[in-house]
Amino acid sequence: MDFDVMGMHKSFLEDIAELLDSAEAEAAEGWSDEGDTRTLRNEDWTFLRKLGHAGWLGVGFPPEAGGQGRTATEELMFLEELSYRRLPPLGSGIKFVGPAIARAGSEEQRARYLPGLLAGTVRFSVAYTEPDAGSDLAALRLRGQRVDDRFVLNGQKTFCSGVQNCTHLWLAARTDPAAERHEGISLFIVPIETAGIAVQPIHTATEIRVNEVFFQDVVIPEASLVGAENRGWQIMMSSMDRERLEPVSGMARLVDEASDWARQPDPDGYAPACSEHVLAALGRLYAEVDVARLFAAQLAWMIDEGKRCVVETSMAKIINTELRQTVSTIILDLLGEAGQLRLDEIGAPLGGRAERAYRGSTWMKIAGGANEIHRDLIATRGLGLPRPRVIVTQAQRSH
Amino acid sequence: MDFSTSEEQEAVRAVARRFLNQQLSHQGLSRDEELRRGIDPDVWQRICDLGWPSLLLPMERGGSGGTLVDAGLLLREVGRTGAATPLLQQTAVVDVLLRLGDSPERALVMSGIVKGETVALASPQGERAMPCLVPGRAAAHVEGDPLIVEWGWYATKLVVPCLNEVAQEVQMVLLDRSDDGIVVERCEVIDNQPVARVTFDVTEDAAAPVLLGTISTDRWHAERRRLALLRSHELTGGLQRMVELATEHVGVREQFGRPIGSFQSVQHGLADAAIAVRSAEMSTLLATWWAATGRPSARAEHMAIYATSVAADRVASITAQYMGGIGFTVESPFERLFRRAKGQKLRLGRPYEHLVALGRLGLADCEPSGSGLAKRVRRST
Repeated sequence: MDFDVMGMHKSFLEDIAELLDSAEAEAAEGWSDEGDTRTLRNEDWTFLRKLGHAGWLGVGFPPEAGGQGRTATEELMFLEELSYRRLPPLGSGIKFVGPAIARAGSEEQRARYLPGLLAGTVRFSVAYTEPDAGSDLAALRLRGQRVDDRFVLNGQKTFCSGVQNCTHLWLAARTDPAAERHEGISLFIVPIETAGIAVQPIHTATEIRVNEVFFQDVVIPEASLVGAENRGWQIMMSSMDRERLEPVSGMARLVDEASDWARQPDPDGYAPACSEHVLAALGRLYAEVDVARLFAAQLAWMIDEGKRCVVETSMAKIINTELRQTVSTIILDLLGEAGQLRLDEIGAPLGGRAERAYRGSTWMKIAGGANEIHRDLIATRGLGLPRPRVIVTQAQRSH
Repeated sequence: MDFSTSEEQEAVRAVARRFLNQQLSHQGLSRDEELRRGIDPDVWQRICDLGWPSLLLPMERGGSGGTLVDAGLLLREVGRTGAATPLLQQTAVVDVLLRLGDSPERALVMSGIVKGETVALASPQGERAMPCLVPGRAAAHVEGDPLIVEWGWYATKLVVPCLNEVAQEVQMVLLDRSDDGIVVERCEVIDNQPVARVTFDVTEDAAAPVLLGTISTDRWHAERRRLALLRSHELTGGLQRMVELATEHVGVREQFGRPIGSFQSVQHGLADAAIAVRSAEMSTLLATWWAATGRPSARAEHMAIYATSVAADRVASITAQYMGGIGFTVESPFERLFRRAKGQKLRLGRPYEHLVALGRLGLADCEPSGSGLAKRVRRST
């Protein structure tokens, strides 16, 4: 047992500080905590390539795939630091597409994509969700029809984040409509520039942009297939653990800023923190963030120990995403009327970042498997309760 | 972070669970409560024979040389049973006395605990509730409002903290339960915890209280937090068991032709209860480890006590709902755990006060914007 993070990982943290206390990093600040949802600016690309050049994009990758082979705990600490400093997201390619390619891809695919991914020149966007396949991902319908040594893609994906930043799509398609729901799915790597792909942005309640992606007779070579044909579901599910290594530092930073706000005296010398109610609210914020940190750290530790962590993965996901709503709500309520001022509005407390966080706070509870799915998993896989009856409609059966 | 428990800790846990399951039955505990005795004295003696109350004492003084973490893990096992035992109190008394250092008076109290003697620790909530030590003609005596003291009725000795407001000090005083100067009465409380009201009767010529040591008020608050932390472990054990009982129940209770545990609303509620228990478990373990290793732990302690308080109400409300009517009856061991969860939570102190303290500490602790963990490490080198 050891809970002294700074003591245990001192030199690793020093390395991170060395890397991030740089002009490139400073220029790339200003991201929020909502993943790959805004368009990368030039300075962001510069920073990401610097990370790649210094070998940090592959922090959690195995050395044989060109990475640093760090533990999940160390990877989490690195992500925490990026998130605290509001640096650009590494993207889902780094988090789980890369590891999936390293594990399930062909030799040619590993040679072709991993070096670019780790250098920051190749970037993936994950295209799983469809209009009728959200939490029930196995209901996906985008058709991948084999024609000789090629596949022809037709259909639609939606709520894809980071498409505007990506070079390739990591795409799940139905290649055998006659097979069982989980059986007839295959995974493909598709360059975003391929003819027949059309991208339409979806604007949201916050600055988050997600995308609809339409496929019309998109022809891709057989070599785009990752793993065996019709065995994509297994790869999709096995790459979920590390995806859940979500930092909580974005919220920790917001709480630190709320603390700054509470310390500032008004012209009469009265600071919000003089009030016991404000102190209690701050106390609640510290407690919520620290508890969420423990869930993330426990998950990372279990991954490192090779322990089964289905339950902890789901718990960490729920805690992390609900934290966003709790933190932004408590802070806005502390700010009162001034809390309504939007991001960058003159006089907005915390620069309006709490307001922005609140607008974006529901998104992560829905993405990455809605929290209800994770509660199902805790109940059935953790507590051992019987699986609820799933009613399969006629329409689903016909797929 | 490394969340692992040692092989020895796991072995102790397994032995403790087996032993407690053998010794304590639902009927037995109901009878203990009826007799208002907390626990069957024979069972308690067997627990003392195992050396649990003196776990924290060094081996050369008859203890097992355990750490605060070891004590916490053991208390979790006790908490699972729903039994009221003096183990928490005895562990806390040993902890307080050990931290005061060596003295013949303290050694005497501790050797009594090793033998199975019950010593109660008064832990008044807030400084205003504390008595004080007043010099008298012949000897000093304790004066103040009546105190609520767990195990006060059964104890042979009482450790009472007395406030010296001027010096901002707390004098730890040892009183004999049979002293003429104090009156001890049993109280009826929400759960099976034996609780007494101790009144200081200044008209009597009391025997001189023994001064065990003097500490600062801040230090006394730290001692109270350590007691609360140990209690959080016990409480967490109870919450764990409540989730298990509710899970078992919804797995077999059928309505509409299927187990009610197959309904999503029930599943999601129990998933939330499981998350709440995990929050309490992890935060108490973290704080106890920080406290046990001598690191600054006030912030982690307040966090853990608050998280456990929140978990207690949440778990109680969810699991009581899914236990249905059966959980409301005294036939079910759940009913005792339900009341005990609230009792133990209330004895942790007001959650709001822990939050205010946490707010104060966090505010002093948190760096101005723009410094993550890595920058802190840099600054500290």
